[in-house]
Amino acid sequence: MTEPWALLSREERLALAASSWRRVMPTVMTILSVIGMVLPVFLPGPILPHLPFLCVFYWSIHRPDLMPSWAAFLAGIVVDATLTLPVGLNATLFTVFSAGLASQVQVFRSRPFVFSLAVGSFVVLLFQLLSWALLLIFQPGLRLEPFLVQGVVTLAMMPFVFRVGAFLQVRIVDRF
Amino acid sequence: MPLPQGTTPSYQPARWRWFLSRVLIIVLVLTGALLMVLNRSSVRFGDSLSAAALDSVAPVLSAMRAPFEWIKAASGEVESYFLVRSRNRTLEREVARLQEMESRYRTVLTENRRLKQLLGIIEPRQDVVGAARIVGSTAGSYVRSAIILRGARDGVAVGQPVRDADGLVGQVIDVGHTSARILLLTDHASRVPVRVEESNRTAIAAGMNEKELVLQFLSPGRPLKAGDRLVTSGDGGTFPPGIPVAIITNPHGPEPRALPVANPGGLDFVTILRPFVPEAIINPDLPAAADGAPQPSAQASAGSR
Repeated sequence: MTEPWALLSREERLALAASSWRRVMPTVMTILSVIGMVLPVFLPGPILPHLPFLCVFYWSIHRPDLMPSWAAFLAGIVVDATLTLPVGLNATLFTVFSAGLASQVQVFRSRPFVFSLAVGSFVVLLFQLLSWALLLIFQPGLRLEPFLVQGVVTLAMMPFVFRVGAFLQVRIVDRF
Repeated sequence: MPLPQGTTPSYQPARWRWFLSRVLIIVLVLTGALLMVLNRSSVRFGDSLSAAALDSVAPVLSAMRAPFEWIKAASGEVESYFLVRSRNRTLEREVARLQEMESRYRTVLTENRRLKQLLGIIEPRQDVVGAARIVGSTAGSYVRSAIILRGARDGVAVGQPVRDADGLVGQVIDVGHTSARILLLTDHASRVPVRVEESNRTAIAAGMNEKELVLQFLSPGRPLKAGDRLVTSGDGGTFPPGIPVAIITNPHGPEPRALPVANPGGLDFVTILRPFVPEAIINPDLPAAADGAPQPSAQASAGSR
């Protein structure tokens, strides 16, 4: 591995590095979306959407090779640490969901967005229910309604996140 | 070298890769579950990770806040340009009303001070740690918190109450070196001892991860009315008494509801206060009582802060 790198010229090394950074774009987008959840903005809804999960969802069904389980796990750890959630909660769920969705890539291939939205509504609901069930361990008596509301708000944001994801995929990620 | 056709290769990298990726998934899921178990068993676990995340996110949020500030300033400019005359008239009316109120307020204040002197009442002071701007706030289904750009280096510590110009915002729960996180009143874990200003009934204002708070353990007394103001009672010794907390919106039912007066979703400044009653400091050098409880003389002294 070292030999080809050593044989490359300075320009070739720069070109290789420039093309490689695109591979981390899905992980970067997922981690940056966490910031979208803590920005001091006024939203019409009572609860912010779970943007990082939507990013994991998008990249797992469109470029599963760029959203491996370790990247989903890392993004989950960042979400947990940033939002003061029990460390490991989103990391575990992101890993499970990214692996599950990546195994169904063929199902999503060449299907319209409405299909992703329909499957997404089920997946997001399942994610929210699992989050609630796991958080019950930490805080008994936690109400389910906020989680369901967050699920609905997350689904409402799905077209926007998929639009951004598609833009990045076409313009940046798929160009190497 | 190409493999001979018709034979099964003994070494199949793709299959191995598939197998290893499945093993990795299982390992990661087990690691995540282990982290959660550790988190459940030890409350302090993950604090340093959280503090590090807080310190790294806060400056980014501070920088990203700028466009929102510009939009806010620009909309304010446009609004003032078109509404300058009507706003001037409203403000003049408001000034006249406030001047009249101030005159009455001064009289009542003087009388109040005199009566307190007669009764020997000592008012608690609100010790201020510092002011900070909210750079981020999250309204998730589990946590309702805000991030400020003041941390341990500025004297911010866990448990300190936080307020803004309107009223109580919450309490510091997480402190990094340069930033801190505030647990908002609306969070599921938030409990604030309050008093109804009009009827003097006491209660606990509990968050529900919704816009409103519920009143629990309401003491008996005059019926509540919509619009009654809740202020901190000072019970428990964290929140100084008299800070506005919420306004009653639904006084009926076993758990009346109230809307917090402070809005931490904006870009406002907040003030960090010291706890109303300082924490007890136990002197470990003094011998403990036979039943394990510290001696009266070993109990704490309140006044170090």
